[in-house]
Amino acid sequence: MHHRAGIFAQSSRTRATLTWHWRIRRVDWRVVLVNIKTASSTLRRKDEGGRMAGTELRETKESFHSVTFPAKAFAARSATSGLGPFTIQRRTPRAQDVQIDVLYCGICHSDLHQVRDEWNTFVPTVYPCVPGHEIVGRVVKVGSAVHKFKEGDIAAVGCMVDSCRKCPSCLAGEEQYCEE
Amino acid sequence: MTLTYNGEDKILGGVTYGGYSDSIVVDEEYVLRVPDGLDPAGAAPLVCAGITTYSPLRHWNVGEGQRVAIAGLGGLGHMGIKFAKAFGAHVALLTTSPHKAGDAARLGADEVIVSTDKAAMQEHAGSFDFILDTISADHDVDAYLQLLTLDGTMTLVGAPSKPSAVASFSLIMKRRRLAGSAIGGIRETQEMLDFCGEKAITADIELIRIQQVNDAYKRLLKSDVKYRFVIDMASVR
Repeated sequence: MHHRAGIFAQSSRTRATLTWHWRIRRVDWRVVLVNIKTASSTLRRKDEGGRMAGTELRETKESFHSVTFPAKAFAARSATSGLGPFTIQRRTPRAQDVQIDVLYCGICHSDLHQVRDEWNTFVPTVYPCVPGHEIVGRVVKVGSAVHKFKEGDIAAVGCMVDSCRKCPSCLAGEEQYCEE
Repeated sequence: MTLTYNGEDKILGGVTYGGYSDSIVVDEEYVLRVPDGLDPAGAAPLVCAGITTYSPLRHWNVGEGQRVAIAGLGGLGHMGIKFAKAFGAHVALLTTSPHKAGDAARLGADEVIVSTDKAAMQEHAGSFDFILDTISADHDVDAYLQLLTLDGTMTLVGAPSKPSAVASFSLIMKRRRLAGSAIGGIRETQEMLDFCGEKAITADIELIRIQQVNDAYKRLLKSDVKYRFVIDMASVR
């Protein structure tokens, strides 16, 4: 597995190599496999087509942002472990990102279902799992392209942090029904 | 859509991590502004429990002159009562627990119907324009449908583990509709927060430290919270 990951990291020529190896010990193997598959198919397509190499390489780089910082969290290690202290890595803000110091986080019943893997057939839980989607905090850093927030603002984050932005639901402002 | 936690992290790989943390980094298009003057702890549940009830009440145009029932008084139900009342509707709480009547009135409900009281259910049959069903325990959805008037809608936002049995005639005879709704979009969530800022609406919360989270989960299973736990994240630092 390390061998495959090594090949991937080398081929993509990203700065992600170190982060990738660091993360590989703690991420879910199913997710790792999906990532490797996606990345290698992108590279293969590029090789076969022999065009737009530069663009595709840049896309690969962007999809593996390599700079992170540690954050203190509470995580579940398994469906029966309960929650305990755990250090996670957050990405350093990209141009469009807002970094928020979390002040308060509500407990939703979904947190409990997810932590105990009770929705296994619908959305299986990947451990360690850090729940929480009722977030209010203070903006402490903004990327260079951010225009809606500034340092010191009180901001909130709900159940989603991104969507495809292309499907009819996203274009209608109903990202919760995003088709991706 | 990328979920805030246990979603695919398309930037770092692996899964996304949620808010039980001292810090989070999010694309600004998915970050919401909290209006000045709203208590930040009481505002936290608005972005899930709040929008989950606000969105269907808006979508089905709940407002003045309408009779609305909120089924269940928990994290979602208590927000449902507050919003339906703020939109000007006549609001009833539909519950199995008669002792919740006092709290329901305090939150803004005009009346309480105990769903296990057959006479009360009969008396209110065909009298509601809209029912928001927030109950996540298994319950008789068909019995609640009887309360809807002609063209009335009942929307489910709770998620019981077992499928519900619905008699076709419960829908056919009064052209009733049974629907569902999931949270709300970013634009509508911002609209909801701004509305809460204008009307001074927040969730009723019990503030805890992160070290109490496992006990809070146990109490949540017994519905022993009025009406939402919020973690003071200073305790994780």
